[in-house]
Amino acid sequence: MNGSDVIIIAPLIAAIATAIAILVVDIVVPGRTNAVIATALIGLGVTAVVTLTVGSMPPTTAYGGAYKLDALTTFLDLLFVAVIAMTIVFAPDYLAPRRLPVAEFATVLVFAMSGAMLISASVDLLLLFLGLELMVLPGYLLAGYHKSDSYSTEGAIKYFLLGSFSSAIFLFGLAFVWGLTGSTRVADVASVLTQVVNHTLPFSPGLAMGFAFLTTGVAFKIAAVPFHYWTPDAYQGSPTPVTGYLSVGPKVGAFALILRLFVEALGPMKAEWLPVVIVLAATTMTLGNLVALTQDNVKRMLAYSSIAHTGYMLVGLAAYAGGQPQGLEGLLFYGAAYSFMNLGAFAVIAALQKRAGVTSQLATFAGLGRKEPWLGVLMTLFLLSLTGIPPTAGFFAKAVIILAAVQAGGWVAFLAVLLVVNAAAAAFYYLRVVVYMYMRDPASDAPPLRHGRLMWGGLTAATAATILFGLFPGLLLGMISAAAGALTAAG
Amino acid sequence: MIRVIVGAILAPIFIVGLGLIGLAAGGSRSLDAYLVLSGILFAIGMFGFLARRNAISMLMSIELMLNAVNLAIVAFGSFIPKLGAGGSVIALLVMAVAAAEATVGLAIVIAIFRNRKTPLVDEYDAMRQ
Amino acid sequence: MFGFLVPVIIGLPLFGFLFTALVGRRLGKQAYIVPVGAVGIAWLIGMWVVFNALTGAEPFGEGGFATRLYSWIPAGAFHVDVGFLVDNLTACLLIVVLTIGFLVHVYSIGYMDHDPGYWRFFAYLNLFMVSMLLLVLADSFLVVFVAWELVGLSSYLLIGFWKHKPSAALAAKKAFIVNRVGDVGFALGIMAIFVDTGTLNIQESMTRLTAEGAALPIPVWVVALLVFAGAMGKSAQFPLHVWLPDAMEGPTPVSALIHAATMVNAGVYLVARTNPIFAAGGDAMVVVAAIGIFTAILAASIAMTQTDIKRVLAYSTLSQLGYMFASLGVGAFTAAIFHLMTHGFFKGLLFLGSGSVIHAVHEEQDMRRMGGLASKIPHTYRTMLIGSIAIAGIPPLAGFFSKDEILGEAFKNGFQWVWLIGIVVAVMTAFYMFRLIGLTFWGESRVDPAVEPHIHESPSVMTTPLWLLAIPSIVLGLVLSWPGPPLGTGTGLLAGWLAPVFEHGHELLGRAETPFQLFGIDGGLLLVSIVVAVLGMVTAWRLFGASLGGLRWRPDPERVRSLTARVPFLYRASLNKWWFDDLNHLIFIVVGGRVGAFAWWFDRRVVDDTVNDIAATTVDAGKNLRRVQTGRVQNYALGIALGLIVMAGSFLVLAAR
Repeated sequence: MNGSDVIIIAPLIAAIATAIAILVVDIVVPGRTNAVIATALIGLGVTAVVTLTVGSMPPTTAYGGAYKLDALTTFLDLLFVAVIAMTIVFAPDYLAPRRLPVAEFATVLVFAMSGAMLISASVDLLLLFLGLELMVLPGYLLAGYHKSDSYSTEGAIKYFLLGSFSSAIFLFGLAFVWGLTGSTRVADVASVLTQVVNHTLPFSPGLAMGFAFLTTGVAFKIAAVPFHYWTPDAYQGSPTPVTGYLSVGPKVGAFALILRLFVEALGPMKAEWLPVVIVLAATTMTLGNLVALTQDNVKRMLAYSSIAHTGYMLVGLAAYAGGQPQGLEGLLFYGAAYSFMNLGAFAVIAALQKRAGVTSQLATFAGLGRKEPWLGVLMTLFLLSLTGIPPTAGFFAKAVIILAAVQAGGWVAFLAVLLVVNAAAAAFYYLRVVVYMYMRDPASDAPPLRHGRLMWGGLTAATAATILFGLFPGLLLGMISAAAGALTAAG
Repeated sequence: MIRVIVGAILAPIFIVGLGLIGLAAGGSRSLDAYLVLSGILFAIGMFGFLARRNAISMLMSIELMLNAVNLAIVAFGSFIPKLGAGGSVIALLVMAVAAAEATVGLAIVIAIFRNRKTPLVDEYDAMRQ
Repeated sequence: MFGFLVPVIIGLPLFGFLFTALVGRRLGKQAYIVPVGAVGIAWLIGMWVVFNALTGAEPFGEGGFATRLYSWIPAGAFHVDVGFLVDNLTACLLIVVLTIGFLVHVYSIGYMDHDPGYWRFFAYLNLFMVSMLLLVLADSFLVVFVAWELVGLSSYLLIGFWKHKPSAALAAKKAFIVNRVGDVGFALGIMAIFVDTGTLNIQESMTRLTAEGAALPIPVWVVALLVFAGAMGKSAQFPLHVWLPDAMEGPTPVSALIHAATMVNAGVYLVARTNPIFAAGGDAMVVVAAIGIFTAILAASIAMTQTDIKRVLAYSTLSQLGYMFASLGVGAFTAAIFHLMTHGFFKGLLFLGSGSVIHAVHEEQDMRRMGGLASKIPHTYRTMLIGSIAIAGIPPLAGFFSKDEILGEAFKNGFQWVWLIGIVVAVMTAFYMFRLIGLTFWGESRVDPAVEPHIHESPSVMTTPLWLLAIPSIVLGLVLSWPGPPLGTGTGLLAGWLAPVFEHGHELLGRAETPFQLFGIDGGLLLVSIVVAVLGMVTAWRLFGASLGGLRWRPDPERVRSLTARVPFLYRASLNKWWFDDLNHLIFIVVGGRVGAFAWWFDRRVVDDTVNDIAATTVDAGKNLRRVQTGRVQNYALGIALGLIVMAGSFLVLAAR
């Protein structure tokens, strides 16, 4: 370890310092929500600035090649910072009426972010695993954050038990890949696999088992079918801001892991894992959408829809493996677009649930368009973007993935067709919420709630991102193509 | 019932599969023995996770699976010379992670026990379908 | 200069939409000023652009003027610009969209006067204008698709405008979903085009798709049919037509603007725009023609028995759109656009007129409770009469020219069966339109006595647009075909304008220009067209009455009733004394009634139910699948373990490969 190493991991240090700062502030001035949030936002702002500064340096590695700083790292880190900042902003309106402390929430969330940031920069299997654990362990706690609520704890224990089960599976796979390739470094694994592909080394069954275990572990984290079972229960049970975070943060984090693992380490063998990804993508998006059609709890519906979105993103990965590097751009763009629109949708639900006891059943949304027109309009926008109606970011993200998949041809092109059909079917259940909002009478005549300035600020940001990235995707595409370029150059 | 059957099927599959792995690894004979043992341990852990209803037992099963992983890692480390140094480090990290996981897990188990007054996870099914 | 003006045409209604959406609520009854003003100015600019385009002034020339707004997807393999193309086809569409759009805006000032959602209505209308203009101006398939979805969205908002009516909400949802089905086809079509050509620019991809000896992974006829699937959804062709009649739940100006004059034409426009791939697609054209003409006769037969004034017009719209597709299918692209333009005006007029009628009799839409309104709402009556004569195909009004051109082209291009069915549809068209006029305006009043004293003509803000639409309904046919056939021997005005657009398509079809023979085949066809139109009209007069100038025929409700009552007893009715005298009546009431009833039944039970069944099956699949989620951790873990085994197995197989 030397001085330059510390500079390279500065974003990580800034993130952890932020988390600690929040704790300290809460100890010095207990119970001051505003101070906590200000600290968190300032800390995240500093983290973002540090990330950008460090990111402007030429790509480099640290800690003997285990930690890598490239365009992908910078892009994902900024995305994580944005996701966490928005989650923190949305939380107080939900947490305060339920007497849940904001400070611990923010701290745990920022710790989770540091895990995700570690994933995005790791080019070492062991570090990837550590980052993954650092990201999901706080997630278990957050899911059970409303500890006196039996749904919240039920979701948490399901998430935890299955999550650690899958972590063990992932680790088992890691042990074998490490033992049989002789290294945990992604680049070394890749070079061994190149030899395997060239038949200079045999493709031993042990290695195959190792990959199977790794794939299963990762598929669980992104909630791909049939490893998705935890998703609906954990999402429905968690406090709504946490659900928003869970549906976005760990998902994008796990996709970062996939990019580092499948594209960089397993890149030489993409022809071998392509069929697996195709099957996963097809079942994931179809099952997610079919079951979402029948849900009448909006949080649970969005949970199933998030499974479907996982499937769409996997199509991007399949397109990459099918020979179209643009598939990765599509995947990254989708991740970013999905983060903003889905967080926005959950923020609206959280805002509605400011009044304690309000459920996330469809009936809650009846007449929302009349009662709280702004929330209604924003929710409609987010749902339309999730459906993929232009000119929102969701449409553009789907378009890039579809076009890449179509160009890849073969079975991947079939995936593109399936994606189009699925997206059309998804309109049913997203639209049902809109129908409830605008065409049903309110269930109760309780007066509309006042929402905090923070909530509106966060919603404005999510809205702006959803619209701007749809109209001017160029804003993001430059960064994304650099990130994807960094990956494909390495892989 | 089906869980028990699947668990019972799983164990031999893993034993045979890992035997294959051992052969294919081509190392010394005793590495195979350790790997097979590790595979059996892992399968037992999975079986326990599937068959036990008590949350604490399931937690222990996960620990067993992680220990199986550690055994494999240490075996690789000591039998393949160039993996030696790394093996110990990875094993130590896995232990640390296992401890962290257990802490979080116990906290959650206590929280839900307070709400539901039962440690049996198959009674936690308020959310489904 | 045009590089600035063309985007402004879209920008103005966009501004109107944003402005009204943001502050409209506070403006109350003044909310209309900005949206109507914006569309008015857009109309002025648009007409200036159209004038320059059609006269071939610089920079338009022959091929049109393309301008690039910005790079939507910059660089890389998917380079997509947001750009506009104004050629003569676009110019023709701009005339229809802007003119009718503006008049409908003006009309709505009066029509929606008492509605609490005044500002919202204008915001939606502006949004629709933005999307529709974008659709006709865009020069890239991806942008067209964006606009395609946006018109669907604004149509959804407008159909469901009266959200307190459950039927309106259902109709809106149905329209959206049925359109989604077509959209899937269109999206797949765009993907196919991208695979084949690697570009999404309309002009470039057309050239590459139809280039000699081009190696296409996806055959061009498949592309054509996929694009046509999208067109079928938006233009409500069988079997995706089910949403349009229900869409009449929306306010009447919406029906006029979206579901008669503009949005439903989008499909026709799309096919015309991509005419080379259809021309190169061979049998794809026959499919288009068959579906078009089948929709035409199906809808016309249903229109004959409907009693809701707006539904008659809705089915009539379907039928006329069917004509247009039939025309496209037989390779008469110009005729299709011709009919699109004339139909846009007279159908817009008829819908706005029906709105005025509904307004006058206090939101009554059932024609059985109308009658004798001619003297009470004279402006509405006269304009609607003009519209009816126009659509019935009586010369020299607009509909005659365009319909005759379609039928004549069909016959001469070797599609005699299309011509024959088209002739039958022409009879039906004249019949149901004059049935509508007869029931509504002539004869005894059957209006609710409580409403009777309050019947009043609509304010001038509503009648003026009617008259303004009546003028093109009268003269547009003459103007656009001058000095071509059947008026002279030159090239018709419209045909001259559109020649560069359809040149490539016509070349691919290998159509030889045949001179127009007034005293030969063309004259004969012309005569037949006129005769059948008159036949249908007179039949309607005999049954439902007429009071036109000196002509006064009493309506004969008795006869209508007894005829329809005897529908099950076809044989006994044939022995009746009117078997000989009233052969026409018999055909139209007994047979026509049965056909209409059957068509109605077929439509509701078979087509509609199939659509619903597919949706239900999907939901059932979801319901079964959700049972997997049992709520128990061990079952989930079991699923994961099984998944792991499958995963391990597949990796082992892949490794062994």
